[in-house]
Amino acid sequence: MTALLEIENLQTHFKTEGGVVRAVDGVDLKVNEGEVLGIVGESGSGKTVTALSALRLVDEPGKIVGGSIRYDGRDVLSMNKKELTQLRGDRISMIFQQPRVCLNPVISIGRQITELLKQHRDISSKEARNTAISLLNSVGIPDAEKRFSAYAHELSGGQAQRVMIAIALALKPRVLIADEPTTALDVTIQAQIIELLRELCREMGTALVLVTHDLGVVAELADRVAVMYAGQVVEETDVETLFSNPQHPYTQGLLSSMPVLGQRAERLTAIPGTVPKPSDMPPACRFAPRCKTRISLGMDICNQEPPQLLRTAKGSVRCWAIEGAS
Amino acid sequence: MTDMILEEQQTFGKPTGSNFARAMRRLLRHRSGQVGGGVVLVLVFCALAGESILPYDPLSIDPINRLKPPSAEHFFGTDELGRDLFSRILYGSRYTLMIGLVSTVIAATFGITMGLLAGGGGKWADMLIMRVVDVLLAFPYILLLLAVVAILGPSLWTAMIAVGVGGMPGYARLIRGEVLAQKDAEYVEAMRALGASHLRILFGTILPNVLPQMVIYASFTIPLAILAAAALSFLGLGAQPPIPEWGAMLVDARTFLRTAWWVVAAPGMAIFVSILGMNLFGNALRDVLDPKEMSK
Amino acid sequence: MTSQPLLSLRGLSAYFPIKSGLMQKTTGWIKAVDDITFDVKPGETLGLVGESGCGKTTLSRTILGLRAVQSGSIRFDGEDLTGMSLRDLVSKRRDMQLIFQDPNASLDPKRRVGATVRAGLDIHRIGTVRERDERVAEMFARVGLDPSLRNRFPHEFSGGQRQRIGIARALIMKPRFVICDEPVSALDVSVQSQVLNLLKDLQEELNLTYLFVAHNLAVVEHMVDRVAVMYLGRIVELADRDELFDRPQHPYTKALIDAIPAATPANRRHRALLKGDIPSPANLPPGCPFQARCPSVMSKCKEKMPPDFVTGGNHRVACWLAEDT
Repeated sequence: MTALLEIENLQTHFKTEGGVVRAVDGVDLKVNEGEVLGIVGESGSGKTVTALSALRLVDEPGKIVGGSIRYDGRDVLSMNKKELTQLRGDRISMIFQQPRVCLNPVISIGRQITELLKQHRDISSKEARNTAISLLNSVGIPDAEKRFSAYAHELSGGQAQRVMIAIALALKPRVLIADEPTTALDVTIQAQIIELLRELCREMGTALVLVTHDLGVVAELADRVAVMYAGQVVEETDVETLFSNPQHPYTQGLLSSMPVLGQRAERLTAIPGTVPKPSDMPPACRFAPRCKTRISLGMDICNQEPPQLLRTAKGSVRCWAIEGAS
Repeated sequence: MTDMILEEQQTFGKPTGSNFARAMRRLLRHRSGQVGGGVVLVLVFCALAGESILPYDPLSIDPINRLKPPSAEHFFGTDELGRDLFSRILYGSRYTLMIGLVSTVIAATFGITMGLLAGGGGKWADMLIMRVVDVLLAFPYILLLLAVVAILGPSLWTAMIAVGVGGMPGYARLIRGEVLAQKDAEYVEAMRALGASHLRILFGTILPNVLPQMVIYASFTIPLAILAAAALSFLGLGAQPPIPEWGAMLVDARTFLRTAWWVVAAPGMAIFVSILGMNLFGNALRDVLDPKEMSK
Repeated sequence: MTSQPLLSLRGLSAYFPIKSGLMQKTTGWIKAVDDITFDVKPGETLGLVGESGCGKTTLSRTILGLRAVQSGSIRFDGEDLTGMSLRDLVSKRRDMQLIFQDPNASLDPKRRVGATVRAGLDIHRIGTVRERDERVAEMFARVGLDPSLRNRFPHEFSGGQRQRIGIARALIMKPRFVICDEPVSALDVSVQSQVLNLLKDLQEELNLTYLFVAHNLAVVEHMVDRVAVMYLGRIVELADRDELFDRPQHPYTKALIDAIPAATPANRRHRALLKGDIPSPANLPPGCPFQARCPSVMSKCKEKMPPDFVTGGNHRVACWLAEDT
């Protein structure tokens, strides 16, 4: 099976006054037709920049300086403006963490959908309106006909995210990239949106790239997961394996530091230290300074040479301890 | 505890310094900051250097050499009394700078205090102060200046006070808005939770955080103040002859506009170049002090 | 443990006026905190759980005297704070401190972090300047930061480190009671557990009493002894931790617990979702505040506010369903 969206050795750098920040540094990802790929990472892991890069939405001072992005076999990086506009929205679309900021405040939500439809499809205003209303219905906006002419500020956070999803899915894209879609929402609303994304993507056969810091959301939705740390993928595998048999010490640490309902432990396991600043990135393995495995095994190589992504039975891992063991 | 060992291994970069130091570094790299800053520096140098750098005495009259066009001897030519215009312009820079600074200090000191009290002093203080501000703003600007001069009598100092009074309401308004915006910020709430008094919060916490805004605003009002004072001098209500204030120089020169253009051009260009330079510098300051820039 | 509660709220309410029209007439009230009664015992951690807009932030600010009290009483250590003069309140406040949610917003960006931590000592003029600086250094070490970092500015720290600074600022006052307002919800997962562990250690060392405000039930379950669930300004359920998580009674509590994402993909399940959004707290209809979203709403719920029913020893529910039990 060829991948629908394939990212290889992606490098996205930001020029700042402190020097070049390698926000994304050699990332490989594959999204197959209809699957849900979770990209998990903490702030500064480069997960959002990776997602934005896939649509070439990275703004100055950021720039994609290397690697390739292919959608359905076509090279995204060499596309001209017109092809790019067609790609965005029509084939791949995106939703963001702050839905209200992304909605145009002075145009009614209904018109935002119909404009998009008319721009990409040859349909009449009436058809566009009907499609928009049925879309709003399908994302669970009550009273869609009336809410058609509502403005962004009249919506609650949960409703705004539903409208964003309706806009993103209006053109039936084959890939939907969702950047922290539930982070700004309350728990009960988050559960609703997760359910909605799951159902809609299954129904429409849309592949979902789910960018999040929340392992719970990943456990709920993803088929495969890529764990990112400091601009690199450190582990990639299917979701069951990730949770039952995590390989990379960072993944293990993340999983064990997550408070789990029903586990009333006295103390949580923590990963010591903090995510490295881009200005002083560890020279070899970027997780080495925080890694308990390195200390307990007394490995020096972690501080001398960067580990490569290693293929394993069920995915890939970037860790010297795994390389040594196999 | 492994936690502790690892914690210490954590590298912690060199201090990036205070926000001020970072802003200065950024300013030095800013293109219009370099040009505008250069102009401002030249201006300051001329004002501070005093008589020693002047080729001629700016006040001494030389009737034989009156209204001479620019030449190698007199770079900017001479005026109707034979005074060297180059020396007069250089010497006049101190008045220009003084007017800009003194009137802005007056405007900022009173304006900021009014704004802080209006924004943080409760409903009644706010009402009272802002009505005063409204009244000041309702006066046509030049009329307000004339009123102050009429009360105090025309002189250089009066002009500065008048321009200062004219600038007050702008500061008061701006800072009141900033205070209202910062009042509910979490770090202000944190001070309140610790039991800090009203005044401590207002002057110790909110003021330092709205100061960059004030610096930006001042960098735009200084040139305006200079222009206003020049206008007052032009009307004969500011600096009095023979002080070589640029606005006052324009008054004397305007009768020779057709016959000796340089007499007008010299103070006119001096005002133009210094205002342009200050505005460029102001733009650069705004760019580097912008709170969004600071958080980077 | 003494039976005397450290903090005790009785019928506490805090309303915000809704003003409209040219004359800014008060046309209604937002009942942000409405008739709240509970005790916090010395040394315990009481969790306060609810979604955005439920009033948990207003409640914590009201307890600290940062918001006006509409009615009811706040007793701290046996003394009634509601009738107290501002001066007494300020000195009382040294015993009650607050840890903020967002460590980026709660630290003064223009002030060196050492001065931020010292602020409380400066305000109350505790000790000489030198003694204050020594205490700041001590406090830095205690929350896991190198004391030599005192002269840095907040922007030089990571989120987790900033939160440690926020904790140091609160604890340097040697308070007895600390309100932790969503102390980890703005932090990364790997750092979150560091801070939670730190809070637990400090509680033990310094004999602190916490009111732990949060929306993440998994975090709350880990941290607290008892839990109060808040919805639209009211406490709808309050019980010991195990009791509440094992036998939740209020439909809202059940929904909250059910809405937490699965811990592993094997636990994926179809859940009974709560319908609709949280209504605005302005001008609510009579009766139970949860009626619009409740899956088991009855006609009675729309007429009368359910009182607190006590079921079992320490379990309190404000729901008509609990009437018969």
